[in-house]
Amino acid sequence: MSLSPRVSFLGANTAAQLRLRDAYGRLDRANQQVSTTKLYSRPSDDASASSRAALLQDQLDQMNTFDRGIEDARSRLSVADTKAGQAMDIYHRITELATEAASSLNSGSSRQSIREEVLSLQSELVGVANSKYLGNPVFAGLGASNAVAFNAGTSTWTFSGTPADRLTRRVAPGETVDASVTASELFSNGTTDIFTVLDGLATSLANNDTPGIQASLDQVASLQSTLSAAQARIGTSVNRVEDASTRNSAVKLSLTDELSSVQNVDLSVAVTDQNRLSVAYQAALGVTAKASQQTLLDWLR
Amino acid sequence: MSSSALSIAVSALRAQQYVIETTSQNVANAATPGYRRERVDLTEAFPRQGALGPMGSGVEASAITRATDQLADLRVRGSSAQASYFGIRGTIMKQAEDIYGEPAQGITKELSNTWDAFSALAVSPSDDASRYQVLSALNGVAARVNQVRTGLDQLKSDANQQLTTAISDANALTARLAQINKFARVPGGLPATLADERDMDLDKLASSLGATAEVTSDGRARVSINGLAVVDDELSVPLSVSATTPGQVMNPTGPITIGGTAGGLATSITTDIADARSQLDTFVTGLVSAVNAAHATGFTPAGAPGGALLADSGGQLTVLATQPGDLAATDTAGQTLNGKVADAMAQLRDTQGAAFRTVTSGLSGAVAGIGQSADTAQSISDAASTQRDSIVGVNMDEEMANLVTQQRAYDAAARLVKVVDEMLQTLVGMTA
Repeated sequence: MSLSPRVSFLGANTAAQLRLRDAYGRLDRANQQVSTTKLYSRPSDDASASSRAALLQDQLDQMNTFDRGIEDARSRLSVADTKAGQAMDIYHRITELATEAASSLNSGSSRQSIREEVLSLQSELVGVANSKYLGNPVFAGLGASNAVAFNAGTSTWTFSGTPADRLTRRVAPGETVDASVTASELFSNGTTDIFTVLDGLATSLANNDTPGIQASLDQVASLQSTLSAAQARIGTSVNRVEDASTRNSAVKLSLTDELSSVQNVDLSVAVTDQNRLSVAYQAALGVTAKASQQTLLDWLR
Repeated sequence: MSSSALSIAVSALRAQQYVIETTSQNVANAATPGYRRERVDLTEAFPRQGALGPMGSGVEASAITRATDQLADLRVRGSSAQASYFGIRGTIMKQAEDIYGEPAQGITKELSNTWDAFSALAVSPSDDASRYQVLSALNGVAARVNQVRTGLDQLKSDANQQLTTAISDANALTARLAQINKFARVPGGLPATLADERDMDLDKLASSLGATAEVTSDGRARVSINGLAVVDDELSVPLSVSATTPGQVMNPTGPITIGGTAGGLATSITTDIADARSQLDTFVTGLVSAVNAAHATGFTPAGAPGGALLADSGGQLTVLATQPGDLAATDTAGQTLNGKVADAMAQLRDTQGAAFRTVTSGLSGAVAGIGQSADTAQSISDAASTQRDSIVGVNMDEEMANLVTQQRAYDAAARLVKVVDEMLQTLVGMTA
């Protein structure tokens, strides 16, 4: 038989206090988890989880900044698409007029009225080319001046946007999308441009020059395919933006999910734990109160 | 014959009175901190020479002994030095963690705001509102960084203040121990009350300085820290905190290494807080050079090359750009809608975010590590003092049971006196 160790009055008291302190500490932690729904209240409570949570939160914040680029690219591309569509309508109208004018049945005077109409369509097209979004030209690229201008000194049309001037918007980590097309891509095919061709057409109409009208008609047809290629480019960009947007939503969802699993408590588990610990603490209080009252003194009467 | 029987009975009465007094003393001090139970040593009185040879002459209460256990003392003091060393470090590191305020109110949040503002500037570089947003976000980072630095410096000087107080408290204790050592010279040795006080002071010194103690057989304490004596016989060596090097404890001959609470404070000052501070400084230096390098590739709306945006000197991070026009967002001079440099700066989030996470996870890892050591050391210390209590403390049941025996012994001795009295009466009656 081994002798059980002595228990001193003060020692038993201290030990009871320590046990109660531990039980209360566990209960307090459980209470905190239930009331904050967080697994830890300070980073050092779980250093690895909090470090992971910080990374996830940062990525989530970053994903949210892409929303701005996506929204902006979407609006800009939508405006560009509308304007390119208007330009295409004008091209169709010009083709109709030029085809009509090219017919030998037409007299000089009717060609004259067609010329008036072509010139007005030309200025309408200049208007479309110089249309603005948020105060800045849509097709001018990164610069702020008008996209298309007539330089009276050299009697030539100038375009202020080159393909290198396209606006880009970041839509996902490491992914940028062209958010604009430039006037040169829309209206010029490298050898000539629509405004110069329309100038030529007007001159041919004024001179009653049927072969000239025919030649301009061919050039308009060629430039029309340039325009539709540019429209296709806009469409491609829109698709990339929409793809990025869908992907970002999925990524954000999974980031939010993981963040929640790293830092949030499973409430049903936390509440049951809290209940269990609360019962345990009350039991410890009761036992301590009862046990510390009893000494041999109570029985020596 | 009967007179010697009477004197034996009286010696028993006297001895049992001592014993019962000591029991009451034990019961009365059952809850007194530092009290160690006492026992009366009973011995047979020196025999007297009778007609039949030496005959017993009663009982003597020869001495009162305190319950002691040198090994238990050693264990309690060693473990409490560890517990208070890690305990105070843990407390101070938790305060450092509070100063950082991660993640809700920390630098992380301000940095994230900054990258967000740069990404807004990339989308609308011609808009002054987004430029103001960048400036205010950068100022937010600078303000928070400087706050954390001030907080850490304050924490360090508070800890040094606390260290000074701990050292002067310890000096008072060592001086008192030297005084108590004087009392050990008096004949009869050190009174039990003073011995209790001495042992409590030794416990306190172990916890506050990590001091070790030896107690001589006549009750004098010799206290030393890492082999250097601080209390030797009737002399105590005062310690001080260096006025020039915070966290440096000195004895009259030079710097010394200490443990316990004061040692923990010294380590916090010279290592823990200093490390946290230098990690933050390294991060800030990296941030400043990365932001300035990226900004230098750009041009302001006026066409000037981007100048330095941030400066870090004398422990203060400042934003040099004050006007929206100071921000360079474009990579080609004159392009108002070009936000490529702003976009590149927003991408600094990846590298700088990771760099700052290294700082915060380093800190929280250190706090968690020290906290764990503190918990372990505390539970070892609790166990050691419970164990010592079980040896030297008072157990009520034991005292009560002893009291029953002692009361019976007293009753019996008193009864003996009565019997001798009756015998004497018989004798007196016969001769009357």
